[in-house]
Order: sequence, then structure tokens, then C-alpha cells
Amino acid sequence: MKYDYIIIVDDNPTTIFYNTDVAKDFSPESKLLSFQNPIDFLKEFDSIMLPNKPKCLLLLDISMPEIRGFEMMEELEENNEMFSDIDVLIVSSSNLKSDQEKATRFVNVVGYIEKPISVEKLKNALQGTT
Amino acid sequence: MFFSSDKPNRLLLRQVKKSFTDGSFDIERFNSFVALVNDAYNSFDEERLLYQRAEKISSKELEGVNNELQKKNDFLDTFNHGMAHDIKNHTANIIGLVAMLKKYTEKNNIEMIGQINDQLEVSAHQLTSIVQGFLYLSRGESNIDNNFTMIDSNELMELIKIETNYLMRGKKISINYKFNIKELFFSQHILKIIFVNLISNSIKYSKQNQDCVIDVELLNSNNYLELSVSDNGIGIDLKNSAKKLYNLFGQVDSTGEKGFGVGLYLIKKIVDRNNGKISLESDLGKGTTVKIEFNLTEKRD
Repeated sequence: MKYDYIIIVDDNPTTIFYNTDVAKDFSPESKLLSFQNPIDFLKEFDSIMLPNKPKCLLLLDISMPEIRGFEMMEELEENNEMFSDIDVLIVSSSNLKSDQEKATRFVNVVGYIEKPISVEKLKNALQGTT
Repeated sequence: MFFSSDKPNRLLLRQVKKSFTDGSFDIERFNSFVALVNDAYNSFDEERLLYQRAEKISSKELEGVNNELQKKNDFLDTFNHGMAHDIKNHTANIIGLVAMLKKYTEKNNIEMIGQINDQLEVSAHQLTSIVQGFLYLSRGESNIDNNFTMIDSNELMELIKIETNYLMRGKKISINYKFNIKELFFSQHILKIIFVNLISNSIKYSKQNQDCVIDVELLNSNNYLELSVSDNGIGIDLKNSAKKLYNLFGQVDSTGEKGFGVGLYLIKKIVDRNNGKISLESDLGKGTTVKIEFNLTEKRD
């Protein structure tokens, strides 16, 4: 599981600060990108993917009040076929069953982890993915 | 009606006559007895109908009360869930940051330790303000509403600065204070909660590519206390979001940003409880102004 990019989308700057550090330890060779606003990520998505379709891992926060994360994925799934090429790991402060079920609806969601993340949690969640 | 008193039931009449074997039967007395029975029966009947009606009404009322309770229960559910979410987000950050601190202390990386400390401070402050809001909202009657004292507005300004300072670290933010009132009789805590929450919203929804400018005003005009906070941030699409603004954990669609969460909801509650008025003006892409007004002459309990 080598990723060219690890992309963090989370509305909390402190979480981005922390998750970035963990991601660096998890995969020092990956480039790191972070977005505090899902809309900015949607805007940048093409420019990340288009040059040479890098292998991407998206660490996506869904624990926003009305689950922006899922909406963002729906939008990407509908409008961008490249979205299915990236692995999505859902990062949430809750382990709500309903959220986990929702997450399995997306083919490229490879796992669901609870905050705070750690290198071990990332490794465990990504076991079996190539 | 049990019997007609004008026309007593013949069968009954005969039976009754028969029982008076000594011939002492008196038709007059019998009729008045029948009338009495009739009255009693009629009033029973009325009562029965009344009970029936009452039963219907109360089941309707009960249904109403039940719906109301259901709504309140759903609200509390959302409230608790949202609060738990918020709190857990921050505690998760703190747990993570502490682990990070350990790592960088071992590496003796002073620069990172400093950054982590700043982030820890942010998380701790945010957690405190969430819990403060939670306490205010969960208490039917709050102490802070009643704690009216003489306030020195400079002191208030300093308190606001202390509580918003951590939000400004590492960002280009200028806050201009304009307090035209030196002393006032009000709840300092209320004013502080309102200003801190509004300023923190302004910072949260500031533009990424532009310096953030926030004007904070506290004015006394004609016995009205006017608070206002305006910014040059991303603004709110009021067409789509006006109704949701003061909702708990409501989300503003167009910006793609996380909704106001508890902040504006809390402020609205405080304003309502103190018979104030709140208004919000916003231009998408240009900024937002929130104004709050309290009547200073109003009697307080």
C-alpha cells in the first residue's frame, strides 16, 4: 500500500495538524495535502488526479453535523469517474452503525476508523488493500 | 329516558299495584316516584355523555402532549448527540496531541513542542466553551442570566481578548473594538459569551486568501444596548439558509462549511431569555454582520 498522496479533509484545523503528523509517520514517502473545506477539495480534485493519476488515500472526516463527508463523496462519485480510483478511509469521532452502513455503500471506502487516528489504526484498516 | 312520566308503563304499573296487597297503592305517589327515577336517570345519562366527551377530548389532548414530548425528546437526542460529537472531537484531538507531544519530547524538537502546545491550548479552550454552552442550554434557568452587575466595559473587552486570543494565533486577523459605553448594568457573562462566540464564528468563516477584519461594537443608544460583530468573511447565502441560521447544529448549504453548530443557537437562546433582539445581515463572499439589542430599562426579576 504505497500512496503517492495522502489527502486529509477535516473541518477542524487541530485535527488536520494532528492527522498530518500521523500520516507522515505512516507513510513518509507520500505527499500530504489537507483541506479544511470539502468544497475546496472538490475544486482541486481534478488538478490532483489529472497529471498522472496518482495513487491516493483520502482520510475523510464525516463527523460533521449533516455529514458533509458523505455528500462530498456522492458528488464526486456522480461527477468524476476518477474518484473510484482513490482509497477512502473514513475518520469519525463516532462509531455510529448508521454511518458505518452508509460508508459501505461506496465501493472505494476501504475502512472506517475512530478518532484519534494512529499509525497502528491506519495499518490495521488498510490491511488487505493493495 | 327511563319511562315516560305522562304514560307510565302499563306492565310496570300492574306489577307495582299487585305488590301493594293491602290496596294502599297511590297513583299520585307512584307518578312522583317515577318522575324522581326519571330525573336521576336523565342526570346519569348526561353525566355519561359528558364522560364520553371528556374521554375523547383528553385522548386528543394526550395525543398532543405526546407529540410535543416526542418532539422534545427528538430535539434532546439531536442535542446530546451533537454535543457528544463535538466534545469527543476535541478530546480525541487532545489525546492525539498528547501522544504527539511525547514523541517530539523524546526527539527534543522544541519547535514542534511549541506548536503542539498551541494546538492543545486551542483544543482545551474550545472544549471549555462547548461545555459552557452545554451548561447554559441544559439548565432550564441559568444563573448567568440573573447575575447582573455593574460592568466596566474595558474590563469586558480585556476578557474577550483573552478568550479569543488563541483563535488568532498564526492568522492575519485584526479586531477593531468600538465600545462607546464606559459602565453598564448587565450580565458580564452574557456579553462575553455572545462576543466570543460571534468573533469565533467570524474567524472560522474568514476567507483564506484575505486578511480577516472584524469590527466589534458595544453601544448605548436611548437605553438600548447594541452589540454588533461584522466581518469580511465568506458570508452566508441567506436565501437558502435563513431558516437554519439559529438551528442547533444546522448547516449552511452553499458555503460547504460546517454549520454554525451551537454558537448562534446558544446566542439566540440567551437573547430570547433576556427579551433581546437579534438580526443577521450577510452578503455571500463579502461578509456578515450580527446585531443584538437589549432594552436596558427593562425590569429584570
